[in-house]
Amino acid sequence: MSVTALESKRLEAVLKGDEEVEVVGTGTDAVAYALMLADIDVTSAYPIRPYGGVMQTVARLIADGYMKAEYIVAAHEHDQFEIVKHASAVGARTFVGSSGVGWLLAIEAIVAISTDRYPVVALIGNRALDDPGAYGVEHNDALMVRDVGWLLVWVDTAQEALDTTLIAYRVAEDPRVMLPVGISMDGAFLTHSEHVFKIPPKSKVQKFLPPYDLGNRKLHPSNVISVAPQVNEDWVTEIRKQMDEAMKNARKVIEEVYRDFAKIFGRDYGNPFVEPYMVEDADVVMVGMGTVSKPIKEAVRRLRAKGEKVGFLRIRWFRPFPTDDIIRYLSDVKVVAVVDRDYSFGSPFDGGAVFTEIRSALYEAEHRPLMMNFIGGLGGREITYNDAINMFNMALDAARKGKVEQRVIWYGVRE
Amino acid sequence: MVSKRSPPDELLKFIPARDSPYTLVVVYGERSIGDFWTFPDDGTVERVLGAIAKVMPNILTLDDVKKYLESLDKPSERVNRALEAYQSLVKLREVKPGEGLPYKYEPPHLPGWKDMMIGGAIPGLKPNQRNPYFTGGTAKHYRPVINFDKCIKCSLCWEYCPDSVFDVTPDGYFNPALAYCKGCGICAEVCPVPDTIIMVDEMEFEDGYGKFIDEYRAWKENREAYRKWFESLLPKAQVISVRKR
Repeated sequence: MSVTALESKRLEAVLKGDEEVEVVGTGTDAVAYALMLADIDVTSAYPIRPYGGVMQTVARLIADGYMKAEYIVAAHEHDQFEIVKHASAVGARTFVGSSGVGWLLAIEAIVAISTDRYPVVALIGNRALDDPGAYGVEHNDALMVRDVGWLLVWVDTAQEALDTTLIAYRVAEDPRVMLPVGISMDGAFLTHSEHVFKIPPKSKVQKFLPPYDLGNRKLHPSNVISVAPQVNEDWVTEIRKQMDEAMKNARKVIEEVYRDFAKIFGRDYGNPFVEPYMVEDADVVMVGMGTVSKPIKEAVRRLRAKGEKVGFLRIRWFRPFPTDDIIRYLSDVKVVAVVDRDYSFGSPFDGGAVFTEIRSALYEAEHRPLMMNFIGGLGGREITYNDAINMFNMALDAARKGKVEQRVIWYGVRE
Repeated sequence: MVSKRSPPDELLKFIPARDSPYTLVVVYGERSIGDFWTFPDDGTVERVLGAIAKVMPNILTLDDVKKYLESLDKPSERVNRALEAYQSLVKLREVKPGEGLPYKYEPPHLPGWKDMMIGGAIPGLKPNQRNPYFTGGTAKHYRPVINFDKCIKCSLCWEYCPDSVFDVTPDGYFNPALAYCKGCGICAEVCPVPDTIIMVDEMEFEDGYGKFIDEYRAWKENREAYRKWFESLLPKAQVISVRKR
């Protein structure tokens, strides 16, 4: 399907003019427009749902002449990620993505991208891991790389997807960071739902995003270097330590980049790492990542109207983990209830990954809240407004009693 | 323990000096121990086992060696080789600290994480540069000797050498930087002119670790002397390829 006349007019406007335009599109469309604006050089594609939409829109934008990039159809996901790793090594700005088991098939290349320090940006259309087969969202695919040097961010609207893609390139390519970024987007709920969002003009993106510069690490006949050598015990500790430092630097860089983003585009996300929603004076705060924010925010509004002191904290950046913000927003509340669209079997309290990380972050806090964990929405099962109300009621009950009776609840599991 | 034809005193000219005393054991034989995997069935294995039984019976007795060799094919032939070494082919030499080739060990400098390029990238060598830390040391058993009189300047040795050992001379010959040679023999194998690159046992030479001769310069300085020297080495050349001989 080619670009419609209306879309064509709008794309011309953002590519040539100075004004943003408003469009309707899916979460993956929004990422594709961001890639057009970021002027990526190479992308490699392999079909898998729900990430696949971005691939289709990019192909269309290239075919119709709105984007100039090498579009390489890979043999499989491992191939896909190897292609962008090598392209990034020779100085190309790259984009790649996958979902669920596709993302995991590429895992060897995915780890090499971060340990070789190439600022690849990837979209993970979050999907349950097979088996058993499921197309719906779960966050375990992206979380599988949480320990190997990928920056991980979760978005919850198409607008945020577009903006975060631009932000991701700027953060990843910062010389103080030079690590890849994985942008997570809930499969179906965001990848395939249509939103109204604004596409900023390319002129502003050029002000925001400088050209990709690998410096003395660019593989080129005029700059003879060896990359990815066999180094064994003599060097590995030092190379991992460099990554540790880069990941820590990323916290500062992310703050700078969001400030700059607000200045140039006029859209201010406030705290870059977390989105606090009515958390002031809250007794109970629910925490989650991705589109689960929608029913929970609605529940917060209605419960607040009834006088219940509840709030919501949406985690955007999971790596680097926003420890300071977690302590700041959560240490003084009575009950923190974490909704995990993932699982971590056999983890310290048999809860989800987000719950476990937040628990760990709060260990150093002066005050520690009671903590509950809802494992829910697995395999794409919907978490509705009513579910959010139920969860809040359970947490409010714990707050009143001053005691959590069941720490981890598999929400809605059929007995 | 080494397997060589040379006596221990001859070997000590090539062995780097150590801080502590040790016993040098020479088992008379054609092949070095390092060649086990290349020439597995020439008797070296059996001779070395016999030698171990002779000098270190606490590790392996002659009876153990016999028992093992009798379990293999051609047992009597194998046992005889072991006995031969046990009885007459082993020479011992007590080596004092400092005896041997003057050599000072310096541990490599390993950079800190702030000094390294990120991601483990390493600056490459510029064209015509060699890594001074990556010489062959005393590792090689054979070295290439070039008959420049017969060389047709085809460049195959230069192209095929896995360690980029060959320097191009101003008049288009290819001169091996012997310190970097690992003795693999590929140059001799690919050389299209018979007896132009020959591989000769390292023990035939007086020069060695850190002070190899410059073959091209020797040839330039005195072609007649070089030709005679080459001809003296020719009968000792390792047979690299049946096709070529």
